[in-house]
Amino acid sequence: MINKFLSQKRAVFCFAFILLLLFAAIIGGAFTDGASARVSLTGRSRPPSREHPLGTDPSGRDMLGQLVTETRNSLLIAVGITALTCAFGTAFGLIAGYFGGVVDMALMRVLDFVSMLPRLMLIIVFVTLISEYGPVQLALIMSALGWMYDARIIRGKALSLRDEDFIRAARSVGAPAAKIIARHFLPHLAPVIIVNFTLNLAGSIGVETGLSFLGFGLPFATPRLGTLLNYAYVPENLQNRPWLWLPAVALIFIVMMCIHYTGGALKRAIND
Amino acid sequence: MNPPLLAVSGISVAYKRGLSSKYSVQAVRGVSFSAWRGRTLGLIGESGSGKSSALNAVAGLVKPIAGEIIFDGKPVGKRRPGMSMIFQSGAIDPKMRIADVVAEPLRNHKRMPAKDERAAVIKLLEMVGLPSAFMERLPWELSGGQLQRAGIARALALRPSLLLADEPVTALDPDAKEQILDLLARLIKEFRMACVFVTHDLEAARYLCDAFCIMQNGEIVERGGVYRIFNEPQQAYTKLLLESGAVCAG
Amino acid sequence: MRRIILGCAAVCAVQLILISLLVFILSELMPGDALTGRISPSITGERLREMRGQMGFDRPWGARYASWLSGIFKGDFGVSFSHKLPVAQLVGEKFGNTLLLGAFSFLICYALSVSFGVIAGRYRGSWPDRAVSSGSYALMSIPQAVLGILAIFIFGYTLKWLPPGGSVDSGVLGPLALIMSRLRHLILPALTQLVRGEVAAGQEAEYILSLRSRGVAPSRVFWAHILRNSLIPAMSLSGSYLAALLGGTALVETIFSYPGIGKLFVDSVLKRDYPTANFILLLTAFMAAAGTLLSDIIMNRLDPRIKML
Repeated sequence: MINKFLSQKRAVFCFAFILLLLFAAIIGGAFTDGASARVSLTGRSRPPSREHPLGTDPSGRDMLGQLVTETRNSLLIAVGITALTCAFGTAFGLIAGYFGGVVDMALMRVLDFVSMLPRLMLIIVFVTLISEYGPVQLALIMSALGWMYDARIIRGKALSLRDEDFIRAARSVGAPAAKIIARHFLPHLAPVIIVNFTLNLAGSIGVETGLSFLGFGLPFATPRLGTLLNYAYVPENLQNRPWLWLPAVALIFIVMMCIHYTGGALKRAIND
Repeated sequence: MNPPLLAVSGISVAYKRGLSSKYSVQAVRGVSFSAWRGRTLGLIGESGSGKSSALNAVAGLVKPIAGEIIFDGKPVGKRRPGMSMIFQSGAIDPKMRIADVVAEPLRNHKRMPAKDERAAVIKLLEMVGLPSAFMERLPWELSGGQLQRAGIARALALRPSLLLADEPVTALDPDAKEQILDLLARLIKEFRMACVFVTHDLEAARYLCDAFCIMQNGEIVERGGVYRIFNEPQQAYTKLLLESGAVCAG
Repeated sequence: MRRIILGCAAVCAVQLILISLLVFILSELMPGDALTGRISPSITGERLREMRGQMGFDRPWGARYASWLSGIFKGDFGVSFSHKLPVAQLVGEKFGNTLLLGAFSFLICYALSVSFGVIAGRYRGSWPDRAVSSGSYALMSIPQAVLGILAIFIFGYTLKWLPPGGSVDSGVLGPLALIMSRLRHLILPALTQLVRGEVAAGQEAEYILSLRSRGVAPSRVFWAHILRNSLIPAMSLSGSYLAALLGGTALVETIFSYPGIGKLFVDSVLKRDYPTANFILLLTAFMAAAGTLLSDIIMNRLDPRIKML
């Protein structure tokens, strides 16, 4: 299976790119943290120059530094959110799929209900209501409304796995449910879980970016790519100062494409 | 006549679809049979006759909606130590190594130090005629017959007194079939196990079984010893089976 | 048929009740209540408690929920803090806009995605398929916010094809940019992929092969059989897609400054105008439930393999 994945050159390239980006963002962050935060009153919103390769933002901060810091924050937060989402979604799907019958029906009803809720709106409401608001709370609320996709897929696969002879054999030998799930289901579902993770990652970044853009993301102290997008909200900036938001847009676009490509390639590698 | 190890009376099994019982299928209707130590009972029938479902009920894989199952003088509980099951094609997880497959029952019931477990697995493999080199192999490296041997080794791990066999040789080629049947016969005698053997293959059944129950549409239509069934079949269905099974009596 | 509708409706009713409970709980958590916007800040302490008592705020939550609910049924949704208008009126004005946007998006989306999906499925493996697949991949990857900004920039400023924002008053072209970005991101790719998958799978189906071997013309095979079967899953999911469309309004409307309930929602939350925000939440969730109900009924009806209850 790994071979199949590696044979898809574009995907491997994308995967490598993301790793590289993450690496650069983390390392680069060490260098630019100080510099990027330096506010300069005179150098506000300047176009790219030799001193500031990507120009400066309305507070005079160096854009390149900002970009690096924000990329790192965005990616790390997104990974955290996705990990939570996948963990919960997978667990849910496993339980529904393994036990089947009434348990499955009940859990599916719950899933259907949560799927119906207007996700972005609810997140916005929660974000406003919670007083001490930080990355952890954001991760929790986003996971609470994002686990459904995982759960559905895992449940489907688990249901079909359930009918396999070797699962019957495992049950006949007296293995308790937890052991069967851990020993037999997980190894078979591992590829699916990984693919879900990549797709979820892309989705999380997307939602989080949208949130930040609207102004509901994390406070400005931890800048993310979405906050850069926020500058684009002002028509003046949008029209005349593309350096403020174009790099962020480009970066987001590339990162997402890479994630999607990687995920798609993984999916193809599994199914064949 | 000593009491049977297994006494099944009047069990019925139904499979439901969805919440209401509107779409339920009754696979087994009021079936009774018994099995004694050292003897093999055959449950014979075509696909859909309910034989596998009956076996599943005995093994505890499915809950009967009616009837009683008495094992070793006591009604069965949720856990059924003392029984083991073997399946068609071995039923081996394609991602597990043979050693882990055979050791699984051991790991479920007690924690053994790695060395002891390894020794136990080697001994089990020996019993079924597999060299210890097979321990590290993956299922796709084994032939159908070898896989089935591994399945049997797994079934023997906890020294069961009752062996349930669901079509164990149906998917094997004639050579492997003979070898496995021989192996089973030997093991049943050696360990004085009772055995319930489900199949539609009359040839195989005749080789291994001492007594038969013929099943059709969830019910037992005829029962008796090997000789009588094959030479003096009473029911029309039995006769039909015998004729189509291309088995010579006597 | 009636049994199916009743069954699904029953489930839907339960969901609606749960939604109303959820929204009610949220509204309880929000600071401020009906009094906050209406009385002068100088009234505090005893007097305030008295007034609250008069309005019934110290009843147990069950009673409060009941009266809130009955208020809803009567059409009384409270008064907006910031606008000092009844919420119903405020939302009513903008609701039409959002519906318009949604309807347009939905139609265009379906037209495009079915066409693309069918083409991709029909010519599976060759360049149209790959083009469509890459295209939908790309579109799926971009977050809505990003796509929206890009769209404004490219179409609004650079090419000057379409006005960047504003309401329906500026003509149909105004919302068009927004519809484009909206549907493109959200649904088009998913639907396209789905249709394509189904069409492609349908082609392989055995009964299709049997038809072909009997000499039925390929195009007739295609239109009469494959198409119909492929579209069933797409149709059945349309209910939930409708729901998703409505749910994601907030972002797009804000980007394009489109006066719909999505933007109203975001503005309300920012201004701490909770009654309005709450009501929009309830409304959106209700519409989502209705959409799901619709798709459930359709799915049950069209696909005889599914037995819901």
